Amino acid sequence: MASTEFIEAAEAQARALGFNPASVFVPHPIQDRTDEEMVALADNAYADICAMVTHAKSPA
Amino acid sequence: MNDARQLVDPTAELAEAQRERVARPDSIEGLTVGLLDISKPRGNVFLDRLEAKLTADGATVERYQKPTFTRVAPEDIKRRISEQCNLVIEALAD
Repeated sequence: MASTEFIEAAEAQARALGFNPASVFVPHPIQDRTDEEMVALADNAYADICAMVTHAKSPA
Repeated sequence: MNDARQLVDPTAELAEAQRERVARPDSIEGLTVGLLDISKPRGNVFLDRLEAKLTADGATVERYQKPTFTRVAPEDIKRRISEQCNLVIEALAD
């Protein structure tokens, strides 16, 4: 899990290391968000996370 | 002025080794999911919520935390995750 600022870096590192982790990105920034905003980020990302780690389909 | 320099790669790696992810299960129900907190601010709130949702969906959750986000996870943490968990979710980089 990372914020969208990490998309390019994650792709570059995956190529360099020869391993592509299942990645889900959430909107940046993170550190100044309220608890409610963080909960919302988790709620919004949850289906995609489950789709990445299981065979469950991510919602359209 | 053209100053040619030779760059030597000490790994002598011509092509990186490719590693595959483990096979994905059909669902998280009944599995142990590790949540690895990389120790950046607010990540714990995010992981708390994931823990609640994963638990509600039938997973057992184990929590882990890196001492610092500036270094890779210590070998002990990686070993415990590999021994104790079916899946791991690492968060939250920003």
